[in-house]
Parts: sequence; structure tokens; C-alpha cells
Amino acid sequence: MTFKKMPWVALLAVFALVVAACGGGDDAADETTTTEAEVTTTTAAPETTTTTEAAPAIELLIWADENRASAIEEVAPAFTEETGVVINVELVDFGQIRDQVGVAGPAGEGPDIFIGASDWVGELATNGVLEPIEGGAWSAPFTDASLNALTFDGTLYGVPYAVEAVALYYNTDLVAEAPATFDDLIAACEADAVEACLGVPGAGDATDAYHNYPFISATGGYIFGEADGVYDPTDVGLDSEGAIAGAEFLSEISASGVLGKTNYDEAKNLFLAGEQPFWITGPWELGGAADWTVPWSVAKIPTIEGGTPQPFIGVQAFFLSSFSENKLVAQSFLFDFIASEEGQNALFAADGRPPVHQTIIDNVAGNAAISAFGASAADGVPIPNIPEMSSVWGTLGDNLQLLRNGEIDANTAMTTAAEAVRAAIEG
Amino acid sequence: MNRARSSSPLSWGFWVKIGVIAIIDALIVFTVPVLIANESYLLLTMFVGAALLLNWAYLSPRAEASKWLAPGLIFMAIFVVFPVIYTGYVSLTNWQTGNVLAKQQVIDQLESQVIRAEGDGVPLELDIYRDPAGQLAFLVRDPEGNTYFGIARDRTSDPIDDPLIDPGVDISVESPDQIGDFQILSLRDLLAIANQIENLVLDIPGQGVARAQSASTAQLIQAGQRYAYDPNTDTLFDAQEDVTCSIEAGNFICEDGRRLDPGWVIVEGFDNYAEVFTNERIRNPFVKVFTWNLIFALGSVFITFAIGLALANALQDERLRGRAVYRSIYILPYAIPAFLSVLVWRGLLNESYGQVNNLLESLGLNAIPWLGDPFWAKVAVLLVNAWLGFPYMFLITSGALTAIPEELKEAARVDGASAWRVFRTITLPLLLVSTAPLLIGSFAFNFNNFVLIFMLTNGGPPVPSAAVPLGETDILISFTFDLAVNAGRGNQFALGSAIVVMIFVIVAVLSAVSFRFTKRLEEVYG
Repeated sequence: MTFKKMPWVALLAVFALVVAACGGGDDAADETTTTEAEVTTTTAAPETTTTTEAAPAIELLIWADENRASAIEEVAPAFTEETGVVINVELVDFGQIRDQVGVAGPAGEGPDIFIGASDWVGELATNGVLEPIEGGAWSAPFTDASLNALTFDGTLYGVPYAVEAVALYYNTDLVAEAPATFDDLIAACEADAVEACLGVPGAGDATDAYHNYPFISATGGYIFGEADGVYDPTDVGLDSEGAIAGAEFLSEISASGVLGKTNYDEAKNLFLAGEQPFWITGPWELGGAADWTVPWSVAKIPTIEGGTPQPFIGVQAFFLSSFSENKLVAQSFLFDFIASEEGQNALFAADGRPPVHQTIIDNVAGNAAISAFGASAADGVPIPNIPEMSSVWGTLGDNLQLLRNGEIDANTAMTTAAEAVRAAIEG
Repeated sequence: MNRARSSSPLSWGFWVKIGVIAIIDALIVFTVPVLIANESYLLLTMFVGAALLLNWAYLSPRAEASKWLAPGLIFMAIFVVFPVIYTGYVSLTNWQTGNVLAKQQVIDQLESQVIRAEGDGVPLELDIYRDPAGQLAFLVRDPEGNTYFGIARDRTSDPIDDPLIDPGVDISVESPDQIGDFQILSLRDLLAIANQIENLVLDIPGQGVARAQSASTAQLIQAGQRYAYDPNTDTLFDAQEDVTCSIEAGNFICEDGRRLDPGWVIVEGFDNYAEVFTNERIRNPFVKVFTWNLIFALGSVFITFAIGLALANALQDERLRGRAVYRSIYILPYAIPAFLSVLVWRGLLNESYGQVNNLLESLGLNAIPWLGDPFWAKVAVLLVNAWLGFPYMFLITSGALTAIPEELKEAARVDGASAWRVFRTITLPLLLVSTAPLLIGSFAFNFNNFVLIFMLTNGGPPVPSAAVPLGETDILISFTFDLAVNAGRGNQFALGSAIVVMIFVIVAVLSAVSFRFTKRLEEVYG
């Protein structure tokens, strides 16, 4: 063989490998965890098996995070057994799902069903990656608030399973009973002579509009005007009289020292060290509560100057991708299994967040903490799910942080935030 | 190189080479149909180009030299050039919330919408039956208890004249297993033909059509799709509102002023760049942000270089024992992932509980609001970056110092120069000749050090009364990230890309100027 013929030898070898690679290309790597796919088919009616057996098994791909995945895998075998449909659950970090479905769906790589939160709905529906879901018999046992939170522009997207809203944790050693009004809370603080006796994230070095919203809403403040579940992004209520009054109150209790200048971890650590009797945050902390050394309980946030605080409520839900090729199957799974009592029970057991299915709510009525969070959520308002909400978080959080740190007054904080939101929306 | 001849046809190395190229080629050929199916022609061109380049470089005897360059070029193309080109491409589009799909996907979605009228969308209970001939029938029950049974048809076909069948038995409460020849379908059988059932409807005269939603539910809707696309005029007709919608910048805009979502991605040209210059929300804070960005990048380079050089210089001294141990310790911050140590620092610098303030207080000093005060937050950012960056400078200066000939310093010392004088007039200039390009690289890196700012302060503390979310420690990239990702209506990826391209230009210009300067340095001292 001469030197000149070398490339041809090489090409031949290349060609051989190409053929080999293409031949074996069917079993693409699959990183999903498959629930028992093999279902014994002994009970199928004889006259129908002839037509159905030839077809390959239908598969549904679900994106969920670790907590939820275990609950889905609990109900999936029953569905597979009854229908022959294989459920694949792929673990995706909760924070990643929102961005990933927008990329993977249009490229044909996305899931049929994914879990998510109600405040994603506007953006995802606007992008065209969410399929509308019809209410019906399945939706009757669910709370109106949970379904409303999943409704964007008059259309329902998603099957809910849990609701989240902040409430008041209190130390039962330091406080005899839950305060009904903020005056009671302040009196309890004075009785105990504790400085910074209420911990709420969003001051010091931290920005947090979410935890501070109950103060803004209690006195009638709002973010976007709303009628019949449709938000009006041109009606910004951050500098409304009620919102400024709420900010004024926040400023007062910060200045008087009742409210500490804490970020999330500081507020948590102070409460768990028994140095801070009150702490406002959400039910996600209940997961670690078994290890707490302080005696605690949960109650609704006390009323502020006669007004009921309305915390933001976020609803956790299952969504259907508009790029799913098995929508009827996916909806059968959602309506008949996820929305069923068993499905909702499994989800509550795995996730522990306050339920939205009436039967489960009744079942857990004995759980004081879950009930208190449920009651707080019942007072709440959904996080506006329109895409314009993206302009609110940063500027509102920044201004409330400056306000609580004592650097600006209530009027400046709220008018600056409102103007920034209006300017951002106008573009 | 004589050993280059070793790739003679029969040697072992030759066959390994062929094998490796063959595997690479096979993988690339394997991706071709996938890329064509996804219409990723840019990526396809790059892959095929890379494959051809590789084969030529390794198989042609005339391409001896490019052998060594080819892999580097290919990796640079994939990991540097492609992202830059892609970012540039995105910056010319309208990619944002509401415009992420392709046009055909948008049309498909709009065309799948049905007319919504008063009393529409009534939820129905559904059971599906099949007769031995394979004909499918729906049994639907509305909330008032009215029950209908009839032959279902494909929704694109013409309505059947007399679809409803009298079942002959009472079906108002329960669905029997058998109605005439029709047998009820089990969930399993039903879902096996789900894709067929999805397209079936049952006409209910005078009411509309029932369309299956899931195995057990259907929905009563007015027959007819809402939107119809006309490819000849490139317009969309809205049958419900009786208006035509025409295309405007990646969306259908209807005659009644409605803008239909979703829209699709189009190439808009330089609109986003114009936006950067004309939008007051970006323009007004620019000077403030840019000034701090320069101070931050220059300060970081200067501080880390000073610390690294001082340590390297000290460890040069042969009298010091255990130098290897010190060296290893100084490299440690470099070995820990930056985002981890930044988070640790965030805890250490906490105003009330951080160890740094605990230490200050135990020394009788006042606590410092490290992350909450505009001035101290800037100091904190520089301090943490000094910790993260000095090992790199320590490494490169250690190497460069050993390369400086000892005779030069010896000669200076003999002439009576002080140690400082030797350092300033001999060591430092010679050191700069070899390290200046790396300093410029470090400047460019720190200019865009998003991870540090995002994880340590997230730009904070906020600037009071700012018209946009703006923090005292925001650098250009973190400021514009906030603007683009948390925009007025969702995300504006295209605008963000335009800003990134402009920052790229700024850094490139600054670097080019600095390289000029180091060239002069080389002429003097090189």
C-alpha cells in the first residue's frame, strides 16, 4: 500500500463505522425513571385485543421535582395497570422547569405534563406552551381560589394540588395566645420587652416583596387592578392610598423596633433560637419543624388597623404542554388520577403543603399548622399571573427594603415603585 | 520532526488514528438527519465543516501543520465563536415573552382554538362504545342529566345526517355495558386509540358538538374553529369576531386592535440596539453603573495582582522554610468553586451574625453593615474578589518571577540599589512584560463578573428613588440582566443579547487599547 492510498483506506473505515452507528441508532439513551411498564394483559377482552395489541404502548412524560416525583410514582402504577399507558417521570429542578418547558416544548423534546406554580401561567400561556384545561366534574371538589389562581385571561390552565401563603409562626413559650390584631402583637412584644420581636424577610441586606405584601394589602393596597379574574396592567395600585398606608405602618413598626431588620435566614435563626417571638413565612418551613427546639404554633397574620392582611397565594399545579402528542391520555391521567382523592392524598403525603381538594382539607382539619396556613391562604389574593408581574418584584422589594431600613419614607417608596412599574410596562 | 513519519500505513498509531476519526465522522454523520429535521442549518454547517477540516488535517499528507491546530480551532468554533454568533443573531430578533415559537407553530395553535359563545364549554360526562364493525359511539351526559347517544364522526368530516341513536334502554343515570351492538370500551382499549378519539365529535342537533377531552369527559362546543389562516394573503380570519388579522412584527394584529398571543420569532434588525441608546431606563443609570464597573474591574485586577505578587515575592526567598506548604495553602481559594465561596462570604459578612463583624466587635470596634451600606458593599465586593482572585495572580507571578534572570538583580545590588529600587526598576517592569496580557484577560473577566455580583450582593443595596431596579454594586451585566429578564412584560431575551454584544464591544476595545500599551512595554523592556 502506498502512502497516497491512505486516505481511501481511512474513508472506507469511516464508512463502515457510519453504517454501524446508524444501524444501532434506535435505542437512544433515556434518562427517565420508568415505573413498572410491564403490565400483565390477562383481562383484556378477546374481541378488542386484536386491534390494540399491535400498537406500541403509549407513554407520558412528566417533569417533576424530587418531592412530587415520588407522589406521582405512587399513583402511576394504578394508571398503568388500568390503561397500559406508561408514565415516565423525569426529575427536573423546580426552578428550572419554567424556563425549560419554553425551550424543550417547541423543539419537540418537552414533557406532556409538568408541575409548576400559578404565577407562571401568564408567561407560559402567552408564549403558547400551555394547553387550556377544561373544568368539569373533576374540578368540583377544588377550592375556587386555587382554580382562580390558575386562570389567565378567563381560561383555566392546570390541575391544582397545593396552596402556599405566608402566616404567623409564634413561640408559645413567649406568647400565650395568637394575637388577633397588630396592637395585641405589639402589646405582647412590650410585655416581653423584646426588641425586634417580629421577623419578616426583606430588610437589612435582603430584598423580598413577597413576604411584605400582606402589609401592603391589609390597608387596601394592590398591585394590578382586577375584574373577574382579568388583570389590568395599566392600573398599578402600588401608590394607591391603601398601599401607602400599609407602607406607612411597615415604616412605623420598623422605626419603633417591633419589626427587625432581618433577611430570611436572620429572621429564621432568631425565631429558632427563641429570641424572637414572631416570624412570618410560609408552610415550606414545616418540613424541618420536627427538629425545632422552640415550642411553636401558627396563626393568621393579625389584622392591621382593622384591615385583614391578604398574603400572596401561590398554587402548585400540574400543567399540560400544548406540544403534547397525547393530550387525551394526559388529561385522562390528570382528571381521573391526579385530581382524584387518592392522587391528591398521595401528593399531600409526599409534599406536605396545604391541600386544595375539599376532602383532603377536611381530612387534615386536625393538623393545626396546615389548617392555619389554609386559613391564611383563604384570606389571600393570587400572585398576579400576568407576564407584567416580572416588572414588580425587583422594584417593590428594593423600595420596601429601603423603607424598612429607614432610608426612605412610605410615600417615596411606593410612588417610586409604582412609577418604575409603569415605566417598565410602557417600555 | 522525524517521528512524524511514524504514521506509516502499517503502524499501530495509524490504525488508532483512523479509528478515532472514523468514530468522530460516524457521530457527525449520525447527527446530520437530526439537525436537518430540526432545521438547525447553522449547527449543521459547523458540524460538517468541522468534520471535513478534521479529515483533511489528519488524512492529507500536505496538512501536517494543521494537525496540531485543528482540534483547537474546532473547540474554539464550538465554544466561543458559535455562542457569540448566536448571541449576535438573537440580538437581531424579537425573542421575548410572547414571541418564542416558530410561525407555523403559532398558526397551528391558533387554528386549534374553537369558537367560544355564551353557554359554551359545558362539561359533559363521556363514555365511548364500539360495535363489531369498529364504529365508535359517544354517550354524553350534561350537568342537567340530559343524555345523548350517537355515532361519532371525525371533526373534519361532514356532519352525519342523523347521528343520534335511540339506545332502547334507560341511560340517563348509568351507562350500560352494551347498547345494541355497541360494547362499552374499557379505559385501556380507549386510550390505545386515544389519538383517534381526540379528533372525534358527536353532533347534538340544536346544541353543538361534544368533543372528547379525556377518557371520561367531553365538552360541548359550537362547531367550528375560530381562526383560519390564509397562506395566499398571509392573514388570519377570526370567525368569532368576524375580523381579519394581519401580521405585524411577529404577531397577528386584528382589525379590532387585538394583538394575538402567542407570536413568533422574527429577525427585526437593529431595533434592540436602537432601544439601548434611546431607552431612558437604560441610558440614565449608564454612567453611574459604568463608572463603578470600571472601578470594580480595575480595582480587582490591581488588588489581586498586588497580593499575588507580594506573596510570590516573599515565597521566592530561599531562607523561608516549608514553601511548598504555603504555596498549596495559597492555591486553596482557587480550588473551591467560586459560587460556593461567595455564598460562604455572604454568611461571613452578615451584619448581625457574620464572623467578620463578631471579630470586629470582640476587638471593640463597631459592626460594619457590609452588604447593606452603599460604600461598604463596594468594599465587600472588592474584598471577596481579592480572596477569589489572588491565587491566580500568585500562580502566574510565581512563574514569571523565576524567569527573571538573577544576574540583573545581582548587578543592581552590586551597584548599591536598595531592595525596593531593584523591585521597582527591574523586577516589576520585566514581570509586566510577561504578565500584562493575563492582567488584561483578568480585567475582561472581572468586567463581566456576573457570578460574584449576583451571588454576593445581587447588585444591592438598592439605590433610593431609582426609576429602574438599580443597586449600588450593580455592574453593567447584572444591571442589564435585571432589565432584560425582569422586563415590563416577562423577559426580553433579544434586548439582553444586544446589551451583551455591546458589552463585548466595550471590553474588546478596552482590551485592544491595553494590548497596544503592553506592546510599547515590550519594545522598551523586551
